[in-house]
Amino acid sequence: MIAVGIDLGSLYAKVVVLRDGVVAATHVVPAGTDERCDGERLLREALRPLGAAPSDAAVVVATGVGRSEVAGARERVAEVLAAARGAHHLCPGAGGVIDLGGESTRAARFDARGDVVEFAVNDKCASGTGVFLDAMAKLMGIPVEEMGPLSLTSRSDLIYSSTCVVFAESEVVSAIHRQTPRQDILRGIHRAIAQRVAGLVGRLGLAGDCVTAGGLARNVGIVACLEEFLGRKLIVPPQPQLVTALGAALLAADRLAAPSVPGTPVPPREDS
Amino acid sequence: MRTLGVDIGSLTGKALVLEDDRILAWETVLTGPDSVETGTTVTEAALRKAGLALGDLDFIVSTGYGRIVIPFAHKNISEISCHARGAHWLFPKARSILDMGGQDCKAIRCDANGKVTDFAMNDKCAAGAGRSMGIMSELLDVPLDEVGPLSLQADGDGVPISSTCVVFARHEVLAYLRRGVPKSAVLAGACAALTNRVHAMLRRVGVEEEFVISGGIARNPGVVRRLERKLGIRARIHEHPQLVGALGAALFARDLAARHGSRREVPHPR
Repeated sequence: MIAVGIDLGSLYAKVVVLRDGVVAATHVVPAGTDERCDGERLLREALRPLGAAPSDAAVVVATGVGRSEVAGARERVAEVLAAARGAHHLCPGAGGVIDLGGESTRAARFDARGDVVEFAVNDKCASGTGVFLDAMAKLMGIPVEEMGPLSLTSRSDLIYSSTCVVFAESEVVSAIHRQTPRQDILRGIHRAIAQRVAGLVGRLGLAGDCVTAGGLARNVGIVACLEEFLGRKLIVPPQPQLVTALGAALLAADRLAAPSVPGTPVPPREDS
Repeated sequence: MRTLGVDIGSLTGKALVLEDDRILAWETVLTGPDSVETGTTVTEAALRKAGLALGDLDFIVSTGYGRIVIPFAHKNISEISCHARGAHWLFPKARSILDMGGQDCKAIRCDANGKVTDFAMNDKCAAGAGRSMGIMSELLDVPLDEVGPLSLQADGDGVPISSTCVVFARHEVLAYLRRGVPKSAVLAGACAALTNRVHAMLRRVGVEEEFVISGGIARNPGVVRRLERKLGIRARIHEHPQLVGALGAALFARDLAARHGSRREVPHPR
């Protein structure tokens, strides 16, 4: 049986295909700028390597900011629910997830079954999100994937004090003019992002092991700075950007295992 | 008596030379990465226009976010005090002042002497600062000076910009443009969004007649007209609203020289 999770984010669309409960395929494409990412096409492309067609997918669960655009989804779930489910699956002992997305940051505390108990979101301000990092990469003329490793060579205490991306840009420009070493500027950028995220996480009070999700979690510099601010180690899965799509696929598989009619509560799940 | 006020803002540096009750000369330059250099350049330019040298000045006060580092200033005073002082001197009945620069926005209340009694400030978010207009101007390829007038050509407040963050608003604006929404309607939406934020801040300190707008935003009728409509009162605006802070600093310099004596003979602390 094929269950699919589609996470249509602000910058990327992520698809995870589960066959009989095991990840059979993944698919990541830029979400594009035309605001409407075709869910049908995403599904088709994700299933192609399996030789399967959209009609073979028993259940599709959509999440992410663009979830309402995914035609053919059986269900649409909030990102935190999917992220928590994915994090819980990857790391069954964890109690929380920090989702570092393109245009938003989410942190959730969940119980032993992976059900969200409490969460916090920033989707109003670009500070601390992927677009912040992208803007800085562009400004510095450094590929975004090289920022993390480069920043690790710095021990600077520099931090960009401006909350706002727009103002931080002028702070960084000044630092470039002052010939501040590149790795120190990068660390300062990562610290600024981490401080914002840590503020959000701090309000929530995460206990136990915590999993990071979202594209920004691929930046080792941000994760290192976040660990410094939070005073604890974080778990970074191999493909953090897929955690939420995986969670959506797992929720889809749950529906397969226990089909529900709309309006009736989903029965409790057996823990794996 | 001759004094000078120098105001180092995030986008421009301003210097103004005051002789007793008369503005002798002023100059503005774009702020560079080095505040000291910006302050020196703009001061020298203003002095050149006045036909004076640094040694001819009785007192110099610096203000603005770069005020602390100006080596030739005898004192630095916060821009909030300076804007209130400058606005009150220009418009003696002024009790409420809105000052919006590139990177911050202040709503100020002052008493009958021009002394600050209350203020609210945003320096955290570009959505509530002049820079948001600069971003829209670049995005729509409309010169900054034309943003306001063009926005007034639209019906009412144009299309709504629902994002708080300017970075997110960019996507929203691009989506509108792709759909063929005219630039005037988009700019109307952007001006209205900024107006709403400023209005909320002004309400926190309260608005009384007379109401003065200073800083670069005063030159944007798209925000000024909308704000006047919301408040139900006319704003008083000087012909060079971006100079109010430097003027206030020069006035404080005059007060200080009168009280503590001229510093003309004192070597400048370099």
